[in-house]
Amino acid sequence: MTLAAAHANLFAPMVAAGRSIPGSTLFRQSASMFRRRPDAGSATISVIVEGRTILVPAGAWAAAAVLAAGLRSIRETPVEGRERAPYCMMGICFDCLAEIDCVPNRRSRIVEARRGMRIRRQIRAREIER
Amino acid sequence: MKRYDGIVIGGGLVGSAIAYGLACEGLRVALVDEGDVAYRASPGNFGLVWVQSKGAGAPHYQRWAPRSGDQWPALAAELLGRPRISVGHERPGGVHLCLGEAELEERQARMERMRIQSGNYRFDYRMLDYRELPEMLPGLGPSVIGASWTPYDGHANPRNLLHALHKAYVEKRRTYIPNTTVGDAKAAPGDFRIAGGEGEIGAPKVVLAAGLGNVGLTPLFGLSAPVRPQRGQIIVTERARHVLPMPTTTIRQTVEGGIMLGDSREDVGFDTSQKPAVMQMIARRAVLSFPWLRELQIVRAWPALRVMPPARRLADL
Repeated sequence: MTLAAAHANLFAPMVAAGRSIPGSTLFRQSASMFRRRPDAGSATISVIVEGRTILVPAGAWAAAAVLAAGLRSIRETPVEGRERAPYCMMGICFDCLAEIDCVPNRRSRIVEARRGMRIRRQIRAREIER
Repeated sequence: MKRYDGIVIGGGLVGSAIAYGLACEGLRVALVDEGDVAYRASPGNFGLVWVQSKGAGAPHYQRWAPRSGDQWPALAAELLGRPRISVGHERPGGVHLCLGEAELEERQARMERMRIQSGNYRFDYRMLDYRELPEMLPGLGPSVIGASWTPYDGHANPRNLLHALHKAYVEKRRTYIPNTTVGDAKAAPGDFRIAGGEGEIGAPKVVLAAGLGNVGLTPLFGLSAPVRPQRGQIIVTERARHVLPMPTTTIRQTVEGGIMLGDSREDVGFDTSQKPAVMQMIARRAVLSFPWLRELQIVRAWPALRVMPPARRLADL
């Protein structure tokens, strides 16, 4: 399996060279550079990524929905505010951090997508009430 | 055989700091580093630059600790200048939290002993009670009935420090010999020879800074340092916005936002396994101290071995 295919988790890379669409900063492209793997099951569920409804195969990780949404990034690093998107797809690099169903700092790669799940950007470090 | 002004054996925090310091003095130094196969204490360092409880029963040590604390800001600034690495040093003062009357009484007695021992050297501490504490540290739990405070305490990032010292040393164009276990050595007056790595090296002086490795190393030089391992375990939470204005003895928030919990002590030899019961104890005590910690996810936990003197003296407690 190629690295890109591993990244997509039930999605396969789509040849999308030169297809970037100007105008949107958050959504780099109107479509994701990932598409469904042919061997993914037919059942789909819908989740909401940054307000957009995204369809993913049942059993996909939340990170797959993030990639399918074509977002440029899903988090900003705590110190320098740099943009990051799902990267290692193993749950160790923490670049897939997102706010999922109002819980901050969740690794979207280790959370299974559920119907109606709301996935939002993790902006820098989370707040904590004292 | 290559000759140097001095050889430092051990590339952890202590060895690399000494080697860098000697290089800054203009000496030709060789730093021999066993590497990550060594029982490194540095990765298990909690990151406190701690003064308030250091040196009970050992006045020289008690004077040494604040001097070290005083020199930290200059070192941090130097390393930020070159090799441009932030070691995340802050010195906002620090507290030791007491859970329950017994702990508070014991702490108070200890701090007073420290003050008396300091003699004409300053040792300003204060015991804070439940009225003053919440102003200083919002979000304390009701189990915390008091704390000792001094302005001398601070904290830093030990991994960044290790990286910075190595880089600073190498940028001084001094010899760094990695992945080398010193197997044999000869000691004659003013003439030390070290075997290991690519061949023999020699110097009129040698520094043994190999941590627990000093147990096997010192007899090669006619010395004895039967230091012993003590296991400590550390837990780190997810990163949160800045909430802890100062470190405590067992809980600190890093510059990046993660909250470190630690300070377990186990005498288990060279066993570096993790024990859930100990991690549970660390977490439980942390949540008693700051109940809001309960909300935070734990992202990492790891053990390491401290380097301790052979016998437990008052100074080691």
